[in-house]
Amino acid sequence: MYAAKHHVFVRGKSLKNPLPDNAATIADGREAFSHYCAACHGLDAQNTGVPFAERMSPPVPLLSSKEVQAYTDGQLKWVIDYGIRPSGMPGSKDVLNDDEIWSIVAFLRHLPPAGSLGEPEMYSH
Amino acid sequence: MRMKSFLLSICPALLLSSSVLNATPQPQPERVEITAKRFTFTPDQVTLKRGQPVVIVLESADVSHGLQFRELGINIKAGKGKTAEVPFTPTKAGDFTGQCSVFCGSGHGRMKFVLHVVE
Repeated sequence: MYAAKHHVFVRGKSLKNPLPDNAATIADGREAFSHYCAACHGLDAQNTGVPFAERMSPPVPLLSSKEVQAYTDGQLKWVIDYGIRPSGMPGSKDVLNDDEIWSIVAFLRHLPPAGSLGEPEMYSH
Repeated sequence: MRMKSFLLSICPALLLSSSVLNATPQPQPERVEITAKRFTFTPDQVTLKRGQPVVIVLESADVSHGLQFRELGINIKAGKGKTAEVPFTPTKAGDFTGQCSVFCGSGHGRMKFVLHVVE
């Protein structure tokens, strides 16, 4: 399945991130991620504080994992744009704009230590 | 003596009035008013002249919105039902696409605005 996802199903392999890889882009990505992605992936993209992450089928992946990080930047953009239907990952095209999605890709390449950003507020009430 | 003191007293007044008369009133920069409402900008495009200063005014008609032109270094954010503005002088011609910079819901990524700058 790994090979099929990485080499066949997930497209956009050759796309390059047009945004500069700097602290401002990563901060933009962290903010955009916190609005739309944190509900399932946690603020740190490592599922911190997400109560159902382990119980999903398949479980919500750690975005710091080797499998996820092995995608090219273009493939990560494609996954965020179109989602991975059977997994429960929705597409975000039109929900987030291209700049935000590319900034999220930059954030995913520079993830903070697990748990360092706290838990999503929605689960603390 | 009376005449001398009279002249001394009116000199500053004359100088002041002459400088006021000579001052050319500066034209106020045009205000470009844009309303943001989920999930559109109205208008959704505007044409400006290069070198002509304007004030971009963003009004939010519902939730918080923003308007960012990354290429131009502009990011205006208007809170829920509020207005924000920034002065701007275009320095290069071209078409620049702005996007909502404050997450506002399911159509947020579709909110776009085009700034045409002409010579």
